[in-house]
Amino acid sequence: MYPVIRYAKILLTCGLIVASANLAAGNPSPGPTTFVYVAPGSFQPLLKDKSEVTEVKVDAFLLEDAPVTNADYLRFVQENPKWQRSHVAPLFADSNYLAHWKSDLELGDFAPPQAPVVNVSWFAARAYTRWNKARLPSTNEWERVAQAGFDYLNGRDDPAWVAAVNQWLAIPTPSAEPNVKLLRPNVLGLYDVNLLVWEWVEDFNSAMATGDSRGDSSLDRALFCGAGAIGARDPSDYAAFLRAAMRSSLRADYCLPNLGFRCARNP
Amino acid sequence: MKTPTLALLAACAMYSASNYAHAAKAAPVDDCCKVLAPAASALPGKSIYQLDAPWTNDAGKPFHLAELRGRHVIISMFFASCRFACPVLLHDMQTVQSNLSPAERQKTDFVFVSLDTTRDTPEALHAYREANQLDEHWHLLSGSEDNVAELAAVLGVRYEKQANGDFNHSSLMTFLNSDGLVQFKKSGNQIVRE
Repeated sequence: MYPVIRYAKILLTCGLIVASANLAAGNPSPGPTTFVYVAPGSFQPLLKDKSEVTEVKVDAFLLEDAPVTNADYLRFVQENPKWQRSHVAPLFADSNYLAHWKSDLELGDFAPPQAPVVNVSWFAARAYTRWNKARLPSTNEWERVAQAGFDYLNGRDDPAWVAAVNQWLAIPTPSAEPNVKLLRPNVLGLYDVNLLVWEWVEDFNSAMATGDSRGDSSLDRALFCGAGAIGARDPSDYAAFLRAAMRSSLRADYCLPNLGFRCARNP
Repeated sequence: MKTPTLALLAACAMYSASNYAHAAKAAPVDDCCKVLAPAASALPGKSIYQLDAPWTNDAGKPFHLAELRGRHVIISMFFASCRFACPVLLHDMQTVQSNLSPAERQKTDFVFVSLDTTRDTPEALHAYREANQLDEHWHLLSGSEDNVAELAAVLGVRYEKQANGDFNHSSLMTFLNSDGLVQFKKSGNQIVRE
């Protein structure tokens, strides 16, 4: 456990050094965000169901190359006061909303400007994307990019990427996230995909619809108790498991210290 | 001890009142002192009536959930061509309605919002109303995908569109008080008190 914590501390220190270097260089506001074109593709769904679909096609779309940062989100709440921490309706965000910020309009020590914004609910993330003339990625879009490695389109063929993803899953959430874009981008040109924070998707509540209207299986029950691996296509894809579990445990008002988001657009 | 204070307060009040009355006669009434129309009291922070999405009812007319304020509401999401969970859901809601006393029934509305933005047009929902003989306490609503997603997220309904256009979805009845706060949820056989 200790080497992992040491790694986390090194990562955090690097992040802070880079952040302060940015500030020192007189660079307080974020640069324009980059939307990357993600070509039509597909991914292998985690779960087996009776249709035996082995590949889900995903149309082309645009995706920001990194998560939305604290600095980006600050601009949003400056222009949209009803989304400031002391004004937000409890219906739309729980009591952890922007808990890491110093105040309504001050980031403070635990919210470096170039770190991904966290502690935002699905409603808040969505509101930001609408303000940015965008939307959240769908679950299928996110899974499609989530499977891409650093050097190979199929991340499972990329040991360095597999190691990085599993390493991130092992690190406890830091009290201040490191900056975005510290690690190399994946082969699609996207940074920090499942290497920095969990990220909201537009249809998170399609995960594990309960089986009431399906005549068939114990598919959803099988995934999340002891026999979980039996219902999955590739039991070795631990990261995909955790994403699926994460999504089905979320409620829309949840604000979590390791859950952020980025914007998507139609091409 | 109390009486002198009370007397003092009364004196102050009378003094201010007389001053005020004098001012009111002497000058046009300021904004501060105009009688305002009674403002609707603010919605509680967790009221779902804060959602101001525009819906369309099965008569093709616009509808906002906040119009239900003051009534007891049972709200649920469905799609008209559902063959599995929704008939049971509908039956449960109708059972609730028939078990209410006449007085309660007067105050209680049932809201069914469609997940199926493609097929459940107002006409389709109206046909559903006729087929199931739903009275004027029932509201059958359709809206945009964005608004459907938002309402489902608020209520905690999970749903997924299938390739054939049907939906897998959780079977959830949500009971709202007159301010739009969730009181109970009934999912399958369980009642969860919020």
